[in-house]
Amino acid sequence: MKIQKVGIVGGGEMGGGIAALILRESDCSVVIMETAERIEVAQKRLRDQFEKWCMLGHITPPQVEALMARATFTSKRGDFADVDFFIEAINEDPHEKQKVFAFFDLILRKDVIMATNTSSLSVTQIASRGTERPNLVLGCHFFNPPTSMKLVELVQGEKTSDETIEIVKNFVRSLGKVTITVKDSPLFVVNRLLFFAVRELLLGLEKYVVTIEEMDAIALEYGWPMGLFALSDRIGLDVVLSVAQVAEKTWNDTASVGTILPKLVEMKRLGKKTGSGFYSADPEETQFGEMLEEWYPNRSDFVSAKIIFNHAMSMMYREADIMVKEGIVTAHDVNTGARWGLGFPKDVIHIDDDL
Amino acid sequence: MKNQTSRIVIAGACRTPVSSVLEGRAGGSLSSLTADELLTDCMLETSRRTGVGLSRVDGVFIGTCIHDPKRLNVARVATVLAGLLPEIREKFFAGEYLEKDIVSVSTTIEVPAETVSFNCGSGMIALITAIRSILSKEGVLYIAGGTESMSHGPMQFARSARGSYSQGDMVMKDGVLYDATNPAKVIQVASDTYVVDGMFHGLVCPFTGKHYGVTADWAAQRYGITRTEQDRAAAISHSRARKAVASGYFAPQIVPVKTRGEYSRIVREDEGIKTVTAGDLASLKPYFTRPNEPEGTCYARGDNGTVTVATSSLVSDASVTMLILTLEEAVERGIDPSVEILDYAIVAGDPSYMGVVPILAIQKLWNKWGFNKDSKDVVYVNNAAFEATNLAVQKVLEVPSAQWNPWGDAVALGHPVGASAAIRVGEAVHMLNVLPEYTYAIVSFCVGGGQAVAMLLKKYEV
Repeated sequence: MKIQKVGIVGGGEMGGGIAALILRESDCSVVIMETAERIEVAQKRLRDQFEKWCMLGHITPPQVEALMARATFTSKRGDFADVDFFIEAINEDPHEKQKVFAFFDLILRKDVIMATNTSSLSVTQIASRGTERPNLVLGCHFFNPPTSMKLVELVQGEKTSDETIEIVKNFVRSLGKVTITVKDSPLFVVNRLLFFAVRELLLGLEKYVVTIEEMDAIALEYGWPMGLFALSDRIGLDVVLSVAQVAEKTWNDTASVGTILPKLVEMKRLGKKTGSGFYSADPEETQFGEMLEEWYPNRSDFVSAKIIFNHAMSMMYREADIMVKEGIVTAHDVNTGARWGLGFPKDVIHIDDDL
Repeated sequence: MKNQTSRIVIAGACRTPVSSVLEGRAGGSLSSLTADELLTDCMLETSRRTGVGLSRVDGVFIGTCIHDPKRLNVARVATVLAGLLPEIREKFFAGEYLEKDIVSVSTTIEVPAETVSFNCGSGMIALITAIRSILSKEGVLYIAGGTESMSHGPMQFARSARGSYSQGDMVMKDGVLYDATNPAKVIQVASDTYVVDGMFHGLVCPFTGKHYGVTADWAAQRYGITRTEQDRAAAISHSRARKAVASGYFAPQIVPVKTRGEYSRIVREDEGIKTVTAGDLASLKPYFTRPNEPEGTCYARGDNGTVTVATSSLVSDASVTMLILTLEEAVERGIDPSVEILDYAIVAGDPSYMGVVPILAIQKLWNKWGFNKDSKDVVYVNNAAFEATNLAVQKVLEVPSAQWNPWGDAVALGHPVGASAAIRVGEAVHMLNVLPEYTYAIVSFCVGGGQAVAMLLKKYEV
């Protein structure tokens, strides 16, 4: 079945970005579902993206109109009756997601694959509790922004058929993405690797006299394209915190993230989206380093930033190892995930093809 | 300038937004507009704001660095165009030449206009030329400013590459050059021809052949300015610029500009101001001094480069004009003489450290007028092309950070080379209008080739 019309529920940052991606990279038409109050904002968001590409010279003004013409916005579920592929990209609310899947399961044709962009919920549950077609439900996890981040994690729920994965893999690859296949598990692959690394750095900050600038400089030396604290700012500390909360719920104390992150989020220092996070866009206001000294006055200088960073890398490698051993992902895919999802320049698992 | 008989004031300073020339495309938001069009818009606005008809001014002085070969003496082109009807101007700026009878009815054809060239200091030298004209009693009322369309910087190859002597433009089609007026006539050009980027060489030291960014690396080493300090200064620059925009400090001087082409829109804001943190900047590699640079390029080879693209000023397009006139003339015309020009200093020094030569210019003004690093009523606007040299100048002079570029510097606000100096003077004029704690402003500029200019302004009081 050729995918000609894609239905996306949610026209926000991710939904809108996925729509823009599909419109630009394929001939598909896209129908986007939003609540009546939010339709105009979603339309503007999509148009702004095309106009930005136009301003940068990637597309011409007539193309902006042509792309917009292939997008329809609606609040009526009935308009999804003829879609060939379905993507849910609403906020991370399990009840809402379940409802969306339950409703659309009744409306979409019986052979249509339903994908969720969830980053924290169980695909298996969404599939089995929400629909009569768990074999056709999978996770299709894009990264922010979907128009430029190359990696897509395809999450296979307990009942998701291999054929479903294959079809979506081919479609997503035709949009220019790199895919990895992951068994349904908390945080899938990329967020899990990143979380365990960042966790060590955060715990280190609480205990030892080290600075984020030092640790980011070491990350750059190590080969990361940007420091992990700068990366966290870019992802958004609220997102990092919600990843941490999933981790803590799943693995309890072995995944506790400490107190710095919750404190910053409470202060509304969410990173790039609010201007300041770990780093401040206004170097003349109170810097994170000063706050750290106030909150943790008794840190020791026993351990250096380099050691903390190397430890964080070890924990990341360990997690990769665990995931491969538990069969969540193949060694090849975990390396691909690290490279394309995090920009990590080395393999997280060394594959000995000779053995 | 001490003891002169006429007091000289500035009025009606206004400018276009500063656009940043984007990579991978013809240019930023103002790239569809030529330097003369940007300038004409500003001149008309200055005239409107001050109520002074352009045909009444004694002359026009405009600084520009990179000359558009089809608009030599851009000051004169813009001046004459400003005196024509809008519909006629529109045709000209859309690319059509004018009939001679139409040109002759321009209301400003009797206004002499001079384009001044002093690398990055052109805009300020244009203002100074107006001052000199007033002091030598040639006139009392001048328009001065700057304009630059770096998007239109020419590409050129040597005349000697043409096989036979001939003149005139050429058209390249499918890799073959034809005479522009005789489309069938092929022009023979030497098959290996070096093409010089006219805009790019405006940023390269003519003596050492190194990009001015390399001179900034040299200055950073000599004055001990670290990478971290530069990154931090760039973040502060953007942060201060953002706050200045939010406080509405730039808006009063900005003339909105309508772009041309299929996708026409109105540009109202400076393009270069971003939200950056030191974390973003830390991952950039030094741009001008590179570890594996081959011989003979305009970049340096080395491991100790510190200057990155984020700590360098933006290549930009913009235009600015203001009225320079005597106090008597201002009073007579009912123009509020808010800021007075007290003095200026033009100095020259070592081209290889061109970014720090402003130290000499500022010290010269200090010595003459009795200022020092502790003078709290002076605000400094140092338009340095690189944070490295900006910090070096501030470090040597020991001026506190709060008084130094309080509204950001060229890294955030852009550096349309010929126009920048005048833009900064306009900015300083507004600073003196809205910041009560300062009575004086010193605007300074490093100039490619090893020179510097500084100007001393004062809040006008009777």
